[in-house]
Amino acid sequence: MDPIYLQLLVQGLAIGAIYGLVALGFVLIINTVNVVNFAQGEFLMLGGFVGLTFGALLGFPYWAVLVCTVIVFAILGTVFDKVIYQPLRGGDFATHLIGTLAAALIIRNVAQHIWGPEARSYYEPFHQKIFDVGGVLINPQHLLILAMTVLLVAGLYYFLFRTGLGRLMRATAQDRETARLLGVKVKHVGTLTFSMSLAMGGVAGVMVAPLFLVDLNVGFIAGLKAFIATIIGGWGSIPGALAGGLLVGLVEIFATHFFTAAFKDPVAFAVLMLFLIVRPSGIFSERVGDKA
Amino acid sequence: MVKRRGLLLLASSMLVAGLTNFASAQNKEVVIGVATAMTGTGAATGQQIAAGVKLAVDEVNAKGGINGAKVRLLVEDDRTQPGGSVNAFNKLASSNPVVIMGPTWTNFMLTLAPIIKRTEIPVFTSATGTKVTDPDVAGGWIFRAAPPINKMIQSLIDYASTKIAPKKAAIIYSNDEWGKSGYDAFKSAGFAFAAVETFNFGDKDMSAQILKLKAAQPDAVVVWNSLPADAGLVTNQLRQFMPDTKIICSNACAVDEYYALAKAGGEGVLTVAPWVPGITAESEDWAKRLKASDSHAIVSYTSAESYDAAMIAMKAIGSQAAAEPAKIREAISAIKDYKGIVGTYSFDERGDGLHGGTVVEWTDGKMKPVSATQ
Repeated sequence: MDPIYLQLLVQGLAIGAIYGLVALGFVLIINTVNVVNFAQGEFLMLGGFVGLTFGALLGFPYWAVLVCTVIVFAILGTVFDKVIYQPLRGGDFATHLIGTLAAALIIRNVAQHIWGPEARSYYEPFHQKIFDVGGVLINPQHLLILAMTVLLVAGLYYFLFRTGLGRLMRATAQDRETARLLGVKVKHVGTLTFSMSLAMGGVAGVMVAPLFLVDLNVGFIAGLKAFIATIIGGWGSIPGALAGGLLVGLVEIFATHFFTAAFKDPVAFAVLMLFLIVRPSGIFSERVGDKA
Repeated sequence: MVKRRGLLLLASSMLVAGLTNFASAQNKEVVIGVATAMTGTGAATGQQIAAGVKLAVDEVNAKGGINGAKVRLLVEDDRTQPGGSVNAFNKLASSNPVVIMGPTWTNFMLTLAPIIKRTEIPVFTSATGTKVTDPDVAGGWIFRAAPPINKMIQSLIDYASTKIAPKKAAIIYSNDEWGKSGYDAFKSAGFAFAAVETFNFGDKDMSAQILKLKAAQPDAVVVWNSLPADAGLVTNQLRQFMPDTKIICSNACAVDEYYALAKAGGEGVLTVAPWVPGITAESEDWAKRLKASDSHAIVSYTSAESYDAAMIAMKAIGSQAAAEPAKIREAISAIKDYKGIVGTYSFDERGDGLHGGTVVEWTDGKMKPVSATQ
C-alpha cells in the first residue's frame, strides 16, 4: 500500500475522533432529556478560550487546566439547564432547535465580547511535536484525543447502564412522566445531564485547540459534523458516536484526496443520506428500550 | 379618508425630516458612517477598521472639528454577511452621512457597489480585489485606501520569481473569489504549479490537501486566502509535513495575528504587506496613539488604512464649503501626494489611492522588508 494512504488513514481517524468526542455531548443529552442541543459545537469553541485563559493567561499546568475547565463547564451546564432547557421543557423538537440555536448565537457573541474576535493559539501539552513512525507522521495530540474519546465512551456506557443514577437518567429519557411518578427527580436529572455534557464539550475544546486554534469559528462546522456522526452512528448510541465520527472523518479525508476539497462536505452529506435511506437506524441500531 | 390621512402622515413626516436636516445644519455636524463587520467571522478585521476611523475622528474633533463642525461617527455592524452589509449601508445612508467607510471584503463591496452608485455617497474601502474600483462597478463613488491586489501580487511575484525562483511550486488557496484570483495571477505570471489544492470556508483540517502537495515535492508552496486565522492553520499543518519548504503567502500573513498563531512556523514566510508597522517614526507614533485611544485596538495595515481613509475624507470635506457628495467626490479624486500612515496617497481616475505593496519576510517575529515598490 502506498504510504500516503496509511497517513490519510491516520489523519482521518484523528479528525474522526474529534467529531466523535463532540458527538458524545449530543448523545448524552439525547439519552437523558431527548433533546438535540445545537449549541454543543459552541462549547468546543468556548472550551478553547477557557483553556487558554487558565493555561496561557493564568499559567496553570495542563492537568489543572482540564480540571478547571470541567468545573467551569459543569457550572455553565446548570446555568444552561435553568436558562435554556427548563423554560422550554415539554416543547416540541422545533422549540428546542430554536432555543439551542439561540443559545449558540449568544455564546458566540459573549465569547467575542470577553476574548475579542482574534484567533489565538494554545499548543499545550505537546507544543506541535510530531513523531515519525516508519514514515508515517503521528501527532501525539491526535492520540490523546483518541484515548480520551475511547475512555469517555467506555465511562459513559458504564455510567448509564451499570449505575443506579445512569438508570434513572435513561428512565427519564424513555418516559419523563412515568419516571417522575415513580419518584425520580427529573429536574435534577436534567441539570446533571447538561453539566456532564457541557463538561465533555469544554474538555473537547481544550484538547482540540492545538489543532484547530482557539477561534470563534471553530464550533459551528464541528458541531454539524458531530451531528451527522450522531445520526450515522445510531441515534443516541454511545459507541455509535465514536463509530459515526470516525466514519465521517475518514470519508472526508479520502473524498478530499480522491476529488478536491470542494467535494468534502457534499460527500459527507451524501453518506448521511445513504444511511438515512438504507439504514436509518444507524450503525448501532438499538431497540428503544435499550437506547444508550 | 384613509388616503387623506396617509397623505397627512407623509407630509408631516417630511416636515419632521426637513426640520431635523435643518437642525443638524444649524448644529454644524458632519456624519461619517462605518459599515463593517463588528461581529461574525470577519469581526477581527472589521473592528480594526472601526478603531482606525474612530481615532481619526477623535483627533479631528479634538482640534475643533472640520471648519468648526463636529464630526459624528456612526458604526453599523454587517455581521460579516453580504445581506447584512446591505442593511448596514442602507441604515447609515438614511442618516445623511457625507462619507461612508465600507467593508474590507471584496465580495461585500461588489454586493454593495450598485447601491453605492444609486445613493451617490462617496465610500472608502480597504478591499483589495481589483474589480472593486472598476468604473462600471463603482461608477466613481468608491475610493480605495489600499493597494489593489493585482499590484501587490505583482510585487510578490516579481520578487519570488527572481529571488526565490522555485524549480517546482505548489499552491493551496481558499475556495472563493479571493483565492482563485491569487491562483490566476500566479499562473498568468508563469508559475507552473505541480500541485493545486483548495480548502473551504470553515475547514480546520487540510492534511489531505497538504499530503498531495507534499507528494509533488515542491521547493515553494503558495498559500492564498484572506483570513489570518486560516493562514495560520494552513501554515501549522504545512510545517508538520513539509518543515523546510518555502512558504509564499497572501497578505493574510502580513499581520501580527498570523505570526502569533503560526508560532515558529511563520518564520521565513514571504508575504506582501501594504504597510509594515513601525518602519517610520510617524507610524510608530501613530501606533502609540491608537493604543492610547483603545488598548484593545490592533495595529495593522487595516487599522492604518482606515485611519488614512478617514483623514483623507475629512480633508476633502474641509476643502468644500458645503458637504455635498458630488463636490466631495471631486475633492477626493483631486488629492495627490497625501502623506498618510500607510504611504503616499495619489488618487487615480479609478479611485485607487495606493499603488504598490512591500514584500516582506518574517524574520525573528518581525516583518522585514526585502523590497520596496511604492
